[in-house]
Amino acid sequence: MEKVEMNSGEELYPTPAIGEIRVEQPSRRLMRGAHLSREDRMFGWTLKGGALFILILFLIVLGVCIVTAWPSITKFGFAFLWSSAWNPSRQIFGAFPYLVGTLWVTGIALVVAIPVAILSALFLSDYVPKWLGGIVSTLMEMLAGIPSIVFGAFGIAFVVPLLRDHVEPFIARTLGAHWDFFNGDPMGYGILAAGLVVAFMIIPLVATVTRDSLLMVPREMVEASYALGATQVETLLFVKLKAVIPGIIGSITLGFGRAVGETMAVLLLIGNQGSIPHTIQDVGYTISALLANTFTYAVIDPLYSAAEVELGLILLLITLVMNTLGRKLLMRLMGGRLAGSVGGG
Amino acid sequence: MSKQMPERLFSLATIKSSVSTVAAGLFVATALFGPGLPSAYAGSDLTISGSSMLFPLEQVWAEAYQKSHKGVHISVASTGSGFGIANAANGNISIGASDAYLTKTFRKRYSNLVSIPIAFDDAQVIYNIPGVDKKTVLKLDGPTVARIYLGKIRYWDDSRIKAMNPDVSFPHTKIKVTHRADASGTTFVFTDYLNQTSKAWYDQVGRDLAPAWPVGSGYNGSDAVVAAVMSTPGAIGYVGLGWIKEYHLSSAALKNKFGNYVEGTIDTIKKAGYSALKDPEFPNDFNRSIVWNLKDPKAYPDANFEFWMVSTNLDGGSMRQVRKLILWALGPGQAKKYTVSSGFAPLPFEPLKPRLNKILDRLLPGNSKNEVSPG
Repeated sequence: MEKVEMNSGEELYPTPAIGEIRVEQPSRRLMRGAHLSREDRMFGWTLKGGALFILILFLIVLGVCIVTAWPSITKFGFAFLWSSAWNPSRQIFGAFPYLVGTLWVTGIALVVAIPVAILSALFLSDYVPKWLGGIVSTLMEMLAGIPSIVFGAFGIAFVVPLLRDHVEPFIARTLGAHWDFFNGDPMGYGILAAGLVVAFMIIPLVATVTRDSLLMVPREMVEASYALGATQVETLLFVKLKAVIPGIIGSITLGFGRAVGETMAVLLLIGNQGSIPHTIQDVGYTISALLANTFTYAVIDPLYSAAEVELGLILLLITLVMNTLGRKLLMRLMGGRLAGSVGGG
Repeated sequence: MSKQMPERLFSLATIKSSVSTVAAGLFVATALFGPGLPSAYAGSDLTISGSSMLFPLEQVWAEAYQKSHKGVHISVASTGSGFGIANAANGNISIGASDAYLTKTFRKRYSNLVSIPIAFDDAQVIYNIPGVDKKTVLKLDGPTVARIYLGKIRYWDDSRIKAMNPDVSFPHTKIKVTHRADASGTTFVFTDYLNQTSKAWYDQVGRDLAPAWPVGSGYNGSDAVVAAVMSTPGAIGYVGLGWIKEYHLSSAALKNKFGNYVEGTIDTIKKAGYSALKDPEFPNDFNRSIVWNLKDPKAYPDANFEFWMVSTNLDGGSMRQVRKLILWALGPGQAKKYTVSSGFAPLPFEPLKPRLNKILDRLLPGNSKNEVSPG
């Protein structure tokens, strides 16, 4: 489907699009490899083997998970999704609190990370002096490489006391006076701490991809904008930023994937309590944290481990759906001119 | 408040416990998805895996035992009690370490397992109440602690708490309930006490290594619980004996069956164990808790045995090695330099001996008439 779209975009001088790498499609005869030597063909098979391995690995993981989760899937059905009861000793399992907790942490992380990341990407691509740009970019890439357990330790040592003693009481005093949702007990640990630290982890990811996309906006486009009398701010916001929206969406999809599955930092900070958060200061529980905490124990009982693996499957499903949606949205925005990667840039 | 927290608490200990969680996860993955891989531990004579609480003790034991018994190699892993029980039963490991005895359900499922008591431990209630001196020993009973953990008692100046502690002036501070998030033997012992003393707890939550907590916040590992309680004003939590001493925590005296409020010390925990061992009605397979229901008025009401689980299906050679190791651990292995320094109370060999004979009989059918002795 994509191929057809790519070939048909030739009649007009195309609007330059970011994220599009135009590849000349080889003819069918060439594709079939009629002209290839023996070595070439063997190399081709090796490549196919590698690709096939990934596919098989994915199917095996999926298969094993479904088989292990089967007792839970058949016993609880769809009610598993919206049941809040989780009591292993009574053989009752429901995913709802963990699902809600996962979405809360991911939501807070994205709400905090996206604006900060886009602003820093804009700064890095257009406003930063050259000497500083290199340093900041390097630091940002290093930040992206810090293991999550280090972020978790940082969270306990710094974010939790800060939230407990200053930020959460402040929120409760100000916003909490109007909305109950902000008027909880300051504890430090909770969805806010976990969401914030996950935000710190995905900011570099979203920012680097967005910056790379911004740097690839064709010069002609920017010059044309200036030629029409636009100011720097106008060019940046209405021309460049608009052109890189697909890249930003791609990077957000990546960030979402990381946030939704983040385990170690969240486990240390969220306060691991399987109840639905009613205030921003509340503790919660994510699917990945629950699995990391209790899976070693769950193996003792087939239904218990089945329920936990089913939670893992749900996590996998969420990521798959998000990735697909991200791609779909991107295709719409790009008018069907999407080249292979959603990563933009 | 946060300044009181020793730095190494959150930096080293928490990271360590989390890294071990990942390692445990890998272990479980092999156990769950790769059954029939007995060579996962190839190259070692004995493999001990399970309870993270027993792990430090097992490490010093393994080191000492390998020094005195040349040619024996013991590998020890901290993977959680559940893993220990399940894998000892199916023969993947030689000894499964567990904080909890086998309850009825698990005795049925793992009928080939023999439980050997190997050390004493307990669960103690710790707290951090602003304005109350750290050296104050609160008096609490089961129903009150249960009500706190059910979310029914929400402030420290609740009339029930004040009634038990007339000399303490409590602030009107919210109680921040903390508990373990991972499956834990300490949790089992703690909830066992609540289960036997509070009907509301029995009906709503029950006793488990990882129960469904109605309120509070959970932490992975006792170290993380200690860190959370020490840094959160108004917090209440529970940990084992070893942690109290190491971090100078305030811990409550719990009410026992005779109405006495008893502090958890090596001495009172031993009393709990002895009274169980001396009781002729106490089962020889040790499948009963030593929480609450004891005949010694000075016994701590929330102590427990730590167990090694051994499968009766082990092959002859391994079984001989395991027997030797068990006898060593229960004899010279109970020296204070191993047990007390790892946070456990030593087991008494003498009152245990007749019972031990019966246990070891099950472990080596046909060779059962040999007298057992430590060493």
